[in-house]
Amino acid sequence: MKTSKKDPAGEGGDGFSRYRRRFLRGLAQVGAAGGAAAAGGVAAQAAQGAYGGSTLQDALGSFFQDHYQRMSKDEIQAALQRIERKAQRQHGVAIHCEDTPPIPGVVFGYALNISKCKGYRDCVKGCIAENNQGRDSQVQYIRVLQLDRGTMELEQSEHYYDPKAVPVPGKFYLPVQCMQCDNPPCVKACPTQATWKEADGIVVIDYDWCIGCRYCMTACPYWARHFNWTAPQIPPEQINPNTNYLGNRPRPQGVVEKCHFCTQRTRKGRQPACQEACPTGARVFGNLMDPKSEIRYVLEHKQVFRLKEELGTEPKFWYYSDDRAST
Amino acid sequence: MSPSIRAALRRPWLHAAWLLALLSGALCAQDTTTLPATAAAPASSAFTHRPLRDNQPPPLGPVPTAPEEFKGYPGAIPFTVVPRRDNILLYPCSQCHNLLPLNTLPRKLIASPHQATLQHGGGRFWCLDCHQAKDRQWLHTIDGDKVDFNDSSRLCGQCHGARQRDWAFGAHGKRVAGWTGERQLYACTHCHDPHSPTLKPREAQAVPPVRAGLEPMQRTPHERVLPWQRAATGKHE
Repeated sequence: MKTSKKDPAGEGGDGFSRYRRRFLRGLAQVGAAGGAAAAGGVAAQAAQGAYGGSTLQDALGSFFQDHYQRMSKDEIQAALQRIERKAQRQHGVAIHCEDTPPIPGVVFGYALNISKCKGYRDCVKGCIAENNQGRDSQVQYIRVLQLDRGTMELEQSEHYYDPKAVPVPGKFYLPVQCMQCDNPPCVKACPTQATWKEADGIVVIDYDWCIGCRYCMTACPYWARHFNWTAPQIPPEQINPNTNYLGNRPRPQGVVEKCHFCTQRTRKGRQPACQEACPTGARVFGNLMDPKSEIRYVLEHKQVFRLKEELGTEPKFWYYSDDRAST
Repeated sequence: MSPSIRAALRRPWLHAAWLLALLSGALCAQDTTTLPATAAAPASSAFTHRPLRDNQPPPLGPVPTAPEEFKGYPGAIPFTVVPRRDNILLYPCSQCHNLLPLNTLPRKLIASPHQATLQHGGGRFWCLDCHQAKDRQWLHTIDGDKVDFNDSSRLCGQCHGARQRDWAFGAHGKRVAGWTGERQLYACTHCHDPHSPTLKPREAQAVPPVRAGLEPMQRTPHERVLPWQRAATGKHE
C-alpha cells in the first residue's frame, strides 16, 4: 500500500492504516509480554500488583468509599491514607494528602489584567507542576488564547500560538481557566453530584465519585473542564507532594479535572501557583468578602469584564485592563 | 444778541478770529486729553487698585519649614517592599565613585561599567537626575530628598503616579507570599530595569500538546467558505 508523504494522518485510508498498524504492533507486544509472564512465573503480576496495584483492603476501601460530603471524618482520614499509600506504591513518592476545609468568611475571586498578560504561558507551566498534571497529556487547566487586538471573538482565537517571541504586535492574550462560577452549569449537569460549589466559592470535583460521563464538559461554556484519557504520567521526582483531596491529589484515569484555585494552597493563605508563576504581575487573587483586599480594589476601581457574562453563570474571574491615561 | 456777536457781524474779519480761536481751543483740548493720558494711566491705576497679593488675607499658621514627605496613599493596605539594594551588582557605588572626580556635565558614558545610553525617557534624562551627585549611595527626588535604593519606587512615582497608586492598592505589581497576612510587594525595579523599563519580548513556554494521534486544529476561516459552497466544489476535506 502506498503511503502519501504529504498528509499521512489527514487522508482517510492511509491515516487509518497507520493507526491500525500501530495498534496491531502494540497488541503483538502485549501478547508477547503475556506469554513471557505466563512462561516466567508471576513477574508481570508483581510489577502491576494484585487488585490493580493495591492491597485487598485498600481496593475494597476504595470500592466502598462514599461521596465526599457524606463521609465522616474518620472515613475521610482513611481515604486520605489510602491515597498516600497508593501514590507510594505507584510512583514511589511519599506524598502528603489532606482535606483542608474552606475558611469561614472567605469567597475567592480572581482578576487578570489583560494589559499586562504577554502570553508567556508561565502560568500554564506553574499550574502543571503544582497540580500534578501529566507532562504530555492534553490536560492543562489554563488556556492562553491569542486574539487580534480590538476583537473578542473566542472562536477566532489561537491556542497553539508559537512565535519566536511574545507578545506578537497586534495581538493580545486572554488566559482562560475555570471561572468558579457562582451559578455553575457544570454542577447542574453532573448526574452523580460529583462536583459542587464549596462555601468559599470554589467548584470542586470528587474524583472518586466522578464516573467520567463528561456532561459537565459540554455544559461548561468556558472550556474549563478536561477529561484525562490517561492517568497523569509524571517523573517521580517532579511530583508535588503537598496535595489536597479536592485539589491536586493524583487522579485516577477517566475522570474530569479542572482548575480548583489551588485549594491546597489558597485555603492555607497562599497564592495560587499561576499567580506565583506570572512574571508580569497580571494576576490578582484574594478574598471577595474583604472590602480592603486587593481584588476588591480592582473590582471597584478598574474597568472589569467577565467572559460570556450574558449566560448568567456569574463567574468569579474578572478581566481588567489598565487605564489609557496611566503610564 | 450779545455785543460781541453784534460786533462780529459788523466786522467780518472778526469771524475769522473767532473761528481760529475756536479751532485752536478744540485742538488744544484734544492734545491735553490724548497725549498725557498714555503716560499717566499706570500711575492712576496703581493708585486705585492694589495688586492681588496685597489683598490676600495674612497666612494662618506658621509656615512649615520642611517640605511635606509623601507617606503613601490613604486607604491602601499597609505593605512592605522587598529590599533590593543588596542585589544591585555594583553596589556600593562609593567604592568607585569616591575615587573618581565628580563630573556633572551630561555626556555619553563610554568607558564605564554602566550602560552607554539611557533608554528610559527617550533621552530626556541624565544619570544625576535620579542619582545623588555627591553621595552616590543614594538616589534623590526632584525636590532633592535623599532616597534609599530600597525606596526607589518613590522616584518612579514622581512621573508614573497612576501606576504607583495602582501598585500601592494592588492592581499593578505583584504580592509576594500569600493573599492574606502580611502584605509584601515586589519593588518596581524587581521587574523593570530602571534604565530601560519596557519589558522585552521573549519566548513563550511550550505549546500545549495535542491528544495523541491528532494535530493542532487548523484555523480555517469557516465564514468565508460556507459548507454548501464547499460541497458544491466537489472537494471533500
